Amino acid sequence: MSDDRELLEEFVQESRELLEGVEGDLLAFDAIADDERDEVVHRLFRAVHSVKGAAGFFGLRNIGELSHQLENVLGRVRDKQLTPQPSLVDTLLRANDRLRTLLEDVDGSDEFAIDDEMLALAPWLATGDALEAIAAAAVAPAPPLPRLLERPSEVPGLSEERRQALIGHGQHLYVVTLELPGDLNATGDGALPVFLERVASLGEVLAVDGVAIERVDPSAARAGRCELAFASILAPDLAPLALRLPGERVRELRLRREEPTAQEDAGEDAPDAHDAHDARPPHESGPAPAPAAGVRREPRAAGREAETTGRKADETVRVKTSVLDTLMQMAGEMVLARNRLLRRVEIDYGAEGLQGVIHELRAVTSALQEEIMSMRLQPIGTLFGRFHRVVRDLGHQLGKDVALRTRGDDVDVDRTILEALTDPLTHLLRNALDHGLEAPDVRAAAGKGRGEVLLEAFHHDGMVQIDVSDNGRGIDVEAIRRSALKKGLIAPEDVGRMSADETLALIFRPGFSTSAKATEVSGRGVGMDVVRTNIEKVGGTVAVSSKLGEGTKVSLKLPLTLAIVPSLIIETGGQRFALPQVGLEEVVRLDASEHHSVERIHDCDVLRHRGRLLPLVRLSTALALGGGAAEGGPVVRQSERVLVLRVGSNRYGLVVERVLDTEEIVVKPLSRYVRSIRDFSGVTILGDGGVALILDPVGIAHKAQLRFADIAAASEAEHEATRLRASSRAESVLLFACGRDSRLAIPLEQVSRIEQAERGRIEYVGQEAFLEYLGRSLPLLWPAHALGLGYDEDGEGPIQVLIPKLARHPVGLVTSRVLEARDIVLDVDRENARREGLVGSTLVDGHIVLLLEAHGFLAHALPSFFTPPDLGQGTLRALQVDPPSMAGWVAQDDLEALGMAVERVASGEEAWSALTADRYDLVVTDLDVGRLDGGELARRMRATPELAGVPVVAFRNGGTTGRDERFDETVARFDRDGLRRVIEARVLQVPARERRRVA
Amino acid sequence: MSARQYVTFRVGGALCAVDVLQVREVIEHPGWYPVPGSPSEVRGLINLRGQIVTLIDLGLRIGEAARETGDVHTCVILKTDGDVDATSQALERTRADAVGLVVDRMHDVRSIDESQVAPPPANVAVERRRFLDGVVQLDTDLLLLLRIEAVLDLFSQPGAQDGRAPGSREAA
Repeated sequence: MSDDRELLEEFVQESRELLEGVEGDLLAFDAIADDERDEVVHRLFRAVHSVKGAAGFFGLRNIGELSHQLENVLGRVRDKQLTPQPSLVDTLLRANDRLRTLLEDVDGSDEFAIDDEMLALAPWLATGDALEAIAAAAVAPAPPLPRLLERPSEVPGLSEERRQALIGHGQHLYVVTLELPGDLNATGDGALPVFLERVASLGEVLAVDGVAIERVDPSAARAGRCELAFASILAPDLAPLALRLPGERVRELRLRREEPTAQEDAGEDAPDAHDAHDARPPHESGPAPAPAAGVRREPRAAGREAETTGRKADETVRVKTSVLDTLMQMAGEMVLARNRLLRRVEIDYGAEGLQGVIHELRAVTSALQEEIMSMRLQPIGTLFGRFHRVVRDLGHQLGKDVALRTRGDDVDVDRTILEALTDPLTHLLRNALDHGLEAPDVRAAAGKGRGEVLLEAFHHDGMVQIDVSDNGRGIDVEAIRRSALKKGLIAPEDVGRMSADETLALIFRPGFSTSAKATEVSGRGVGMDVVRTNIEKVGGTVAVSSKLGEGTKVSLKLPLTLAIVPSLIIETGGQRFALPQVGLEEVVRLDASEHHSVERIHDCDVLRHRGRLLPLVRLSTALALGGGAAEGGPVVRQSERVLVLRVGSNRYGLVVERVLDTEEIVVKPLSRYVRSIRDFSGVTILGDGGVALILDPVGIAHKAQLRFADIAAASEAEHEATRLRASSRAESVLLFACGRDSRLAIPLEQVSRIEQAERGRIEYVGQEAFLEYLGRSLPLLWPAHALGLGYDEDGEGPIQVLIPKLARHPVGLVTSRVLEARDIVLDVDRENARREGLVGSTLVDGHIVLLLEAHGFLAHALPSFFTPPDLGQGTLRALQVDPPSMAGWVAQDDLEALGMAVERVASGEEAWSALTADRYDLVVTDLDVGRLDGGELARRMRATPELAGVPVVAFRNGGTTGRDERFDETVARFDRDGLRRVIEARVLQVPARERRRVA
Repeated sequence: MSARQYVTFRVGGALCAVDVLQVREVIEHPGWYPVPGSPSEVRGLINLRGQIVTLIDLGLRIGEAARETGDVHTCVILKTDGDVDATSQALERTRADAVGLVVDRMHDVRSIDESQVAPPPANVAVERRRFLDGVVQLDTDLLLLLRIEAVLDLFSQPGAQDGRAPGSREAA
C-alpha cells in the first residue's frame, strides 16, 4: 500500500518535471532552428508519452486521456502532418497546463473537467483523419520511428528481481539495433535466429522489438529495423566488437538507480503506444509500459544522451533536498567544531605537529562546506526560464508585444534564495508589463520599438544582484510625490525636501500601492512593499531607479546562501551577540572631540554623521539589559562603537559596548519559546562553544520605535537650515514648467491664483489669446515664448494659468504644468540669465530654473500695459538694507528704474555705518536685518539730527497690512506701484535744496 | 506489568517525576545564556554538543519556586520528536524544539505502578492541577507526576501571553 503511494508520488514528481520540460520546449518552438525541431518534437512526444503510460498504470483516467490526446497531436507534428503554428502551440500549452494542474491533485484528478482541453485538441486530429489514412497508405514502409526503449523498466520481461539479479552479477543491459537483413548478411549469417544463437554465448536477449523473448517467434520474417534488449557481462566498449556491430548500434541502459516497477507483461503495449497513428480510444491504452516515476536519471539529459550524441553526460543522481539540508547542517556543525578546535589550539599552542594537522583540517572542512553548499546551488536560469511563460501569457492578455531577455542564467544561487525570489520576481515582471511598458500605439508614437524586459543576474560584492529592467515609460517622480501626499504618506512640508531617489523609494512603502488604479502613479508600486518585505526576509535589499520615458530598473541584492552568514560578534551587557554583516554599513568610533556630533531630536539621540542625522539606538537599552549611557556623560562613550545599520532605505546607529570579532556563523532557528522576540533572527554557536543570539536590525528598529520619517524630516530640515544659515535665506517660489523643458519659478507672493482650463476655452483674437475669467477676458501670455525661450504650443490636456498679484491689469501666464511650491535657497546667478523680465537663474534639484518676477516680466512682455514712468532723475541716492532676496532685487530694479542710484547692504549695522559716512535720499529696509533691525535703525536715525529727515521705507512681510509707526512708509514686497508712490511722495516732491539741507 | 519508570527530582518544595522515556539525559552546571525579552520561565539557552537547548525554569513554571535569578544547577533534557522513537510512540509528539527543565536536585529513578497513581488531591491549586497527570503518595512525600506537554506549552495558558508566570504559588 505504502509502496504504491510512494510510486505514485514519484510519478507525480517525475511527471511534473517532464511537463515542465514540455512547457519550455513548446515556448521555445518558434525560436528553434528547423534541424533541431525534430529533436524537440521527439522529446516532447516522449515526455508526454511517459506521462500517459504511467497514468494508465495508476488508473488515472483524466491524466491518461488528456496526455493521450496531447500525444496524438504531437505525433502528427512529429510526422510532419501538422506544422507547428502559434495557435497550435497555444493549444498544446493549455493542455499541458491542465495536465500539470491535474498532477497537483492526482487523487482528485478524475473529478476535474478536461473537456475544454480535449475539445481544443480535437480539431488538430479530426480534420486530418482521412489524410492520415492516405498518408499511412502512401508511405510504405513507414518511416523509421525513433526507438523509445530508454530505460530498463521499459524492457519487457525484465522484472525487478531480474534486474537486481543482473546488477548482482555485474551485467550490463544494452539496446541493440539491427538493420535487417543487412547487418546479418554482413556477418555472413542471414536470419534473426542465427544472430540470436550467435550472441547466446555472449549474453542473453531479453526482448525483441519490445516483446519479451519468450513470446517472440524468431523465425518470423522481419525486415527493417529491429531492436533487441540484450543483457551481458561484456563491458560497454567491448560489446559492439563482440556483437560485430557498429558502436552506435549498441547503447547501454543503466540498470542502477531503478525503482521497482511491478511491471511484467505490458511489453506488447509499448510499441503500439509509441505509434502516433494509433487511433485507439484512450480508455484502451491499457497498462503502460512503465511508470516513468521509476527513473531517477535526469529525464531530459537522458533523452538527449540517448538520441543524439551518444556522448556520456555527467552521471547525475537525484537526491532528496532534505538530505542536502541535513548535509548542509552537518557541514555547518563541523565548521563550528573546527572553529572551537582552532580556538583551543590557539590558546594552548597545542602539541608538537598539531598545527599542521589543524591546518589541514581547516582546509578540508572549508572545502567540504563549500562543496556541500554548491550542491544546494542551482542556476538562476531554472527560475528565469519559468518567466518566459509568464511574460508571454501576460503580454497576450495585455495586448502588448513583449520580449523577455535573460542574462546571467548560469549564476548559481542557493535553493532557498531561489524559492524566496519566485514571488518577488513574478511581481516585478507583472508590474513591468502592466504598468512599465506602454501600450503598443503609445510606444509607436514615441518611436520606441518592441517592449523589452530584461532579467539579469550577476555576482556583486559577494552577493547576487538581480536586475529587472524594462524600456517602458519610467516612473514619474512628480506623480509619486503627489500620490504619496494624497495618501498622507508624506507631509506637505516634506515635499520640497525629498530628493528624486527618496521619492522613488516611496513606492516600497506599505500603503502606497493599495490604490487599485495604479496608472495614476504611472503604474508602479503595486505590491512593491510585499516585494521589499520578501526580499528583506532573506537578508536582501531592493532599490529602484528610473528615467522618465526610458524605463525602470529594480535591483534586488541577495546573499548567496542563507545557511552561513558572515557576522560581527559584539558584546553588550556582558552578553555576546552576532550581527549579520549584510545590513552593516560601517563601524564608527567617536573621538572625544566628536561628541558634540550627538544631538537630541524628537526624544531621540542622533549622530551627525557623513552629512546626515543617524538615530541612535543603544543595544543594551533596546534589549533591556541595563547599562545605559551614564547620566550627564556622553551618549556614546569613547570605548563604545556605533554600528551603522541599513534597514530598507533608512539607516540607524546601534550603540554597542564592544566589537569582538568577525565570524562565519551557522544560523540555527530559535525555539518556539523565544521565536516571537523580534530582536533576534536566530541563534548560533560561537567558536568557543558559547551561544550568541543573532540580532535582527529590523526588529530592533521596531522595538526602539524609530520613526524614520520623522528623523529623516528632521534631518533634512536641519540640513536645509544649516544651508540657509550658511548662505542666504530661503524664498517661497512656485515652480512651473513651460514649453518642452523650461522650468520657471515665480515668487509665491506674486501669485494671486492658479486656474485650470481646457485648451478649447482659449479664444484667439488675431495674435492675442484670451481666456474667459470671472466674466472678463483675461489676456494670456506664454512666458517661455515671451522670453524668447521657444514657442510652447505643447501637449494636450488642460492648461494651468497663473494669475499674478498686484498687476493693474490681470493677465494669465500659461504654463504646461505647475510643479510645486517650495522653499528654495536663492543662490542666484544674476548675470548668466540676465534677460528682460527675468531676475536670474538658480538650480533646483539639479535643474536650471529661471526666476521670473511678474511685474518686470509683464513690463517686458506687454510694454503697452505696464510701462513704468520714467521719473528722469539720476542724482538721488537710496540705501537699501536687506539680505539678498528676490524681492530685494526687484526693489533694486525698481529704484533704479525710478532713476535712483542704489547702494545695498545686508545688515542694520552696515547700514548705520554707511549712513554716518555718506549722504542718502532714501532708506529702504527690511524689518529683519540682524541685531540692529529695521525698526531700531529707523529709531536711531530719528534720534540723529542729521538723519532725521531721511525718509525710511520698510518692506512689510507678506500678508500684513497697515502702517507701522516706526517708519515713514511701509510697502509690500514686490509692490512696485506702492514703492513708486512712496518715492514720488516722499523723495521727489521734496525740493532739492531742502534735501540738501537735510543732508 | 503496568509499572513505568520515572525520573524523580526536587523543585522547590515539591518532588516531581517524569517518565524516563521522555528524558534524554541529565546535565549539571551547564553554561547558559539568557535571552533578553523572553518569557520569564525561559531561563536561557545552552549549547548541548552543538544543539541549542532552551531551558525552562520548572519551579517558576509550576509555581513551586520564585527563583528568577541564580545559577542553573541541574537540567533534565527532554527528548525531541527526533528522539522519540517507536518504543515511546505513545507519548505525545509535540516537541520539535530541544528543551531542558531546570530543577534543583536529582533523586532516583523509581518504578511506579499505575495502581499507585491517584488524581491530584483537592487542595492542589487549579492553576497547578493542569501540570499534573496524577500524584503518588510516598512514605514521606507526595510525588507529582508531571504532564510534560502542559508544562512546555507556555503560550496557551491564561496570562502567559505577556510572558509572566502563573500567579498562584499556593502550596500543595
